[in-house]
Amino acid sequence: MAETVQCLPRTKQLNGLHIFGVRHLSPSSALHLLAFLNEIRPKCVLIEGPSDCSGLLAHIADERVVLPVAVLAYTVKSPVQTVIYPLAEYSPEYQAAVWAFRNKAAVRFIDLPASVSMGADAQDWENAQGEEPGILYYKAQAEFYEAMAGMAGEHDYETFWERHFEHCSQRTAFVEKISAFSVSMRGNLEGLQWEAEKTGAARNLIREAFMKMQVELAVEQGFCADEIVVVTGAYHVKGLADETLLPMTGKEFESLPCAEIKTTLMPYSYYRLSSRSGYGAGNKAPAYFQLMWECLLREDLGRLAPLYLSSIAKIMRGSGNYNSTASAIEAVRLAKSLASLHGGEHPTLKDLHDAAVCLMGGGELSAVAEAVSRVDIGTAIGELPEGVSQTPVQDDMNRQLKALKLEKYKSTVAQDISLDLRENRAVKSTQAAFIDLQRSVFFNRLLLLGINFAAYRGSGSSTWSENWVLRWTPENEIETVEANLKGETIENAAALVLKEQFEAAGSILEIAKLIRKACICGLLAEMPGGLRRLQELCVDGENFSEAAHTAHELSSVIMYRDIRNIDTEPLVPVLQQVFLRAALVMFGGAACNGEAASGFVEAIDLMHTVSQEQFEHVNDELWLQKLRELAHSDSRNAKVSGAAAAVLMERSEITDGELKTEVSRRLSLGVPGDLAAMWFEGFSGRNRYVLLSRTSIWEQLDSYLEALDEDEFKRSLVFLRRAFSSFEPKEKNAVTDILADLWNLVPADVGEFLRDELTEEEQGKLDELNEFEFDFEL
Amino acid sequence: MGNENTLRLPAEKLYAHEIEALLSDDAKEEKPFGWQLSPRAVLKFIVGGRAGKTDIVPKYLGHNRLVEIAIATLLTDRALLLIGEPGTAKSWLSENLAAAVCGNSNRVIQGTAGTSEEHIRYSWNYALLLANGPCREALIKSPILICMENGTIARFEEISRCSSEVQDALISILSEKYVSIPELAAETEAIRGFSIIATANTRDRGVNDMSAALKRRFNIIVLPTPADLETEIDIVRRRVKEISASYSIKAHTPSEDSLYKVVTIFRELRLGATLDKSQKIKPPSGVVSTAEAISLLTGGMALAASFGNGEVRDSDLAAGLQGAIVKEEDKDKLVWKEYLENVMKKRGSEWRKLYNACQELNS
Repeated sequence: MAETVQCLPRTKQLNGLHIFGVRHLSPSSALHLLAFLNEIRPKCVLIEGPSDCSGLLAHIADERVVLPVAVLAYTVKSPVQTVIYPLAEYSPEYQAAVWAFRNKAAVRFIDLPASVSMGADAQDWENAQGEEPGILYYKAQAEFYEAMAGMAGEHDYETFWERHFEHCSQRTAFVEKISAFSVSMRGNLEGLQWEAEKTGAARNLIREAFMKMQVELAVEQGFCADEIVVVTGAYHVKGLADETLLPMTGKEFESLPCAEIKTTLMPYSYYRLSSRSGYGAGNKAPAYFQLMWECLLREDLGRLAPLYLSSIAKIMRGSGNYNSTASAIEAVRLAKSLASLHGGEHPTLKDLHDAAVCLMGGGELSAVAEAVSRVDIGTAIGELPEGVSQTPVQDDMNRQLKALKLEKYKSTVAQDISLDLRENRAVKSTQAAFIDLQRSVFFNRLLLLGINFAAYRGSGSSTWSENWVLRWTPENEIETVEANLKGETIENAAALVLKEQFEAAGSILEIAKLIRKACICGLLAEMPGGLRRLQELCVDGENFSEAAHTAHELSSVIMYRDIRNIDTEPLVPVLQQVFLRAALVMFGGAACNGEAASGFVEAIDLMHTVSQEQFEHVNDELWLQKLRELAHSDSRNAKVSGAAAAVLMERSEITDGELKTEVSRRLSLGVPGDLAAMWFEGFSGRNRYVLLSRTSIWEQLDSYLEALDEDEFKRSLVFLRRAFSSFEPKEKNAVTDILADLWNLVPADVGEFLRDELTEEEQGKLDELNEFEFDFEL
Repeated sequence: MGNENTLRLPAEKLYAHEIEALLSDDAKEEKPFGWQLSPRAVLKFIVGGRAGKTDIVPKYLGHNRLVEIAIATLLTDRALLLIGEPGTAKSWLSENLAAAVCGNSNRVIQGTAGTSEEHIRYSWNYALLLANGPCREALIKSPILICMENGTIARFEEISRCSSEVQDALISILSEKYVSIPELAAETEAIRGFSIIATANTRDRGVNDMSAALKRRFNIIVLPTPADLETEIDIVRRRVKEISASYSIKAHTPSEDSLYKVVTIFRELRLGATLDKSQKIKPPSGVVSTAEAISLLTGGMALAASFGNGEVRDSDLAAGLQGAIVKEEDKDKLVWKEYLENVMKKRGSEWRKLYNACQELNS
């Protein structure tokens, strides 16, 4: 068997062992391997993959499985580490497993167990603190790849690989090439790896020794060496064939570090496959390689280029960019002549990309980028049939869906659901009475975990109702599996995520939002820690807006308590403190510019709301005192002072006499026109009813404007326009009525005059105002 | 042509020895119909390399893949359209491609607002036409028609400067590959090997924007500005050397230092940011292309040769910079001043002399 690759002559027992070197996620490797297996018909197939995941092979080869899927291994103890071994339909490992099951051959993974490699990872990580990572080695590796591509006259390594390996249709040539390539790679790099990246080099050695041990084990179990095929990365072929490397002994194996891990199979997606790069972990264009695999299976690689380019044309047409069949034809021609420039028969992905850009994008990548990435990457997501390798969180998910009567929503069609959080008194059990509340908690926990099954669509008209849209996608399955990394159940996992977020939060507002999340997710156990952090940060907080928003956030959580059946007592002291802090820093912060003023006014509004909602808890006395201070101050931003005065007026904390004095003080000739108008803007910004019911204020405004000279008038007009722009038509009418009364006119006439369209002259004057130049800082 | 005093030799004459070397090196390779060189040899002619014992000078640097696509296009049914900012070597690449593929880069239509359909198809020698009536002898063939007849490559410069009616005349030529001459009741069919390389300027878009129908007849390649500082310096260095040799300017080629400075200034103004991306810069109204950097430096050499001591001084460079950058008097002057004060002045002593010279001119 000349083309069988390498033999192990060390012991007679291993004579004739077949080792087939592949590249992971490589269609042609898979194709040649399949042909090889069909020819040899081994009784035992040994695949490079963590040996403690061998139990999953039966699931992987299950006919109902839709690829891509991934083997996930994760440590039980935190910090949780994960290793993912993704498999696509064109993975040689997957095809080997399927072949073995179909042909009733024994099959198992023979690489170092994931528990050992992850145990070693943890150790390396501790040892490597402060050590230089093997950058030198990785650089050399990249240079080697580049040099190989350069020697073949290609622009990059991937193109080189595709042209010389994926397009190689002769098995013998393929096997020779790939082994020559990896031998030269090993020869060039192994020495350097021992110098620059010892752990990696040692790891390779250990893995190979372990694999040899597994091979010997298979022989001991009664398989003849020539009945065994080992499927492994091409790099390891030489190591496995090396006589000087002895198989690992059981004793040596026991001395290796070991972590407690769990393994599972999870659905995977092409998108995820494409976002992980590097040897074995993924590839950039999974959908393209799938296309290639399908073409290879039909023994018609020439179909790939037309298929690929017409798919792009079709997608572009679908999104409204016209692309003729002629341009697809020309693109295929261009791609082929690009390939022939490099002596290739079939275009590579790079040739296809360039042809698409040139012919379909008019030379611009941006025009075709979307279509290209859709054909390259695709949207395929794997699927596992029910019962195949469930993780605890998946189990919990199904349990909860059942308990909450949500199973019918587990479909790819989006469905609406509206919840009534109140107790349903018509039913007997508490479980049934609060089912909507529990659903809401469940959805919110899923959101926290990043499982996008339920999307929140607002609360409708009342605080006790919630609208959600539910849609189950295969991607949710992946997200659910990933939640296992955080805990065994949805509740535990959500709690851990929340805890991590509490720890990472840097501002009091963030924490307040998280506290709210804790409440709606029913994860109150995490709250004390958060409250402590909030309190710590609050002590040094200088930002009024942030404190006001925080107070408001906390206040609304406290308001919710009855509906959500939660005890918010621990929040009260923190709210008091935040409120106090906000009131104290308000005056200092109020010296701000016009831009910041709007945000500041909004914060005052929020504080006002809080003071009303929580009047029995917060220090209202101090709040009013600070408001008064701000309202009377001339040194703060005029708009903010105006807003403070408005709050006082609304709460009747200022007598009519005082108000009159204040208004006339603000709107007097001594005050610059723009400041006066800004004050009025702030003052008129809230509760308009109160404002409109006080005719005296309008009288004062009127007489003030009368007294201004023209220039000053123009100046204040700009601000007054802005102030009135936020009035609603009804309110504007009320203002005109008041003014008509003041000027002894018929209100209806004034209204009509104002509703008339502007004359050109008037429009011109208004335009002039827009160009008014300000010679001061707003 | 061929006179040693010709101001500018076409590429096939300028690099005649290279083409010869490639021809003999390439003799055994299979060639597309009508091509004198194989596609790989054409590629080598453009991006440089060795043929036998002859060094092939790189003509277009930094974007080899684009050259590959251009050559591959000429192998297919489509014509080639090179578009890009002014000064990105569109015409230069087009000329060299034509020279390498068919040994003649002179079949050119130079597009202007005055180009008419006759320039593209054919026109008549009216004296003969009146005397003999329509006959072959009275026919004046356009470069495109000539190339169709002998299966070579025609060039069309500045295609977007022609009016759209004139551009339309190309559509049927490119798709049907023949021109009918109703006056003679004859038609000329294109021989294999015929193709067109057109160039267009991105800054002219909208003046006479090309119709979608015409665009579909072309494979479009956008030529970018040089990818990095080193490539651009390399391009400028080579071209300055070549040009000054053919103009026999008696000055030393500019020092590496002044090359570096000029290219740095140009790149920064073009990108609108300093090379280290730490500072934003307002770009001037005009294009500051690589071609302009080349002409600036050769101009500097001419100044130095005629009025100086043969060394390109900072004041020579400053004069060139002023002219290249300040195109719209008021606006660009401010832009240039801002650059001088905010960037160049702070670069320390090596830049100080140049700064002073520029500063003096721009005040």
